[in-house]
Amino acid sequence: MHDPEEDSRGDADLIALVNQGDLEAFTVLYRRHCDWVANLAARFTGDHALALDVLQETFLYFLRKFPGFTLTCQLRSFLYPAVRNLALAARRKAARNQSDDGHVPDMPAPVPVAGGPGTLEDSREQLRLVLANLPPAQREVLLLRFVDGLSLQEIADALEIPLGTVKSRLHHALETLRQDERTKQFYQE
Amino acid sequence: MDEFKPTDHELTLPPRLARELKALQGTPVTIPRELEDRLLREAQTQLASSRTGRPRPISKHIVPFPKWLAAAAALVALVGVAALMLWSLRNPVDPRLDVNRDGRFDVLDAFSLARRLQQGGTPDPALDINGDGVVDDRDVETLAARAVQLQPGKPKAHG
Repeated sequence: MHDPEEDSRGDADLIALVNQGDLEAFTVLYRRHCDWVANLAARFTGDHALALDVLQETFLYFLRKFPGFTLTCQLRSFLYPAVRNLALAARRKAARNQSDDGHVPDMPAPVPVAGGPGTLEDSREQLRLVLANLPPAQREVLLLRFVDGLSLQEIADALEIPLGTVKSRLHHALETLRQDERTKQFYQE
Repeated sequence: MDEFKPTDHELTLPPRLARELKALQGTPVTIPRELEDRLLREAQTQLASSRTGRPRPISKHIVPFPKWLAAAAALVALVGVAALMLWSLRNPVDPRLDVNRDGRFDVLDAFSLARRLQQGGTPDPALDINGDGVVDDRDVETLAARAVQLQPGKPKAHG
């Protein structure tokens, strides 16, 4: 079995093989993207067990596209809406089971971290608070760009919004980070 | 739309801030080997069936309907329709009660009469269902009551 990191074939080539029923090509695709899907799902659900469910559902959804699947953008741009929707559905289901409060925010802010003033934990906590106050649409673009490493065009494809809107949201998010007293320090180094 | 167009160079983060942003996402998810095995088994089955040109439903989501159960359901439906037809032949609809002329007497006939009365005009004297000499809401009530009766019988007298 190929190591997905060493396999030089692109996603589009592998998808063409999966269309012909090639299990090995599917396995390479799965191993190449499974960590990203699982961690993205964990960001949306805030729960590793739910994230694993979402991972499985996402790849089953992907599998159902074969044969006859045509990739029109990067695979992660294609998978992103599926992960997002499945994760939010999983969160809603879990929330319904736990409380009567049906409200589920689009994307949960990262969990708080402990630590005193001036410590690494404290600066992370300050960053977390600034992130939590960002409008969800700006936060989503910011994380897709700098945590997931998607290009601006890939983000536009994933969110099905114009490239200009991606740039605008990212600019506003970065301006907030630049101006906010709690994250200014990162720009003064 | 967005008039503002920042350059890509402006859309960057200081390296440490980018690292902290990643670190803030918490510990990475550990994917159990069993999950991968299960998924790849499913993929193997699905892709094998796609090679043979017979798409197979993914077992976790779509449970195949047993053929014997489908045949039994069809048989029950057939017997039901036949019984209904037989019952209709033995119990012809009183044309007076079939207000909407759909060949059946049911609660829709009561609705039909109610609508006619609501629209005004001179109602057909044949629609005096309860025989009190006038066609009015009481006839509607009589029709409705009769339509929902389990056993065919005479409507209660009003008045």
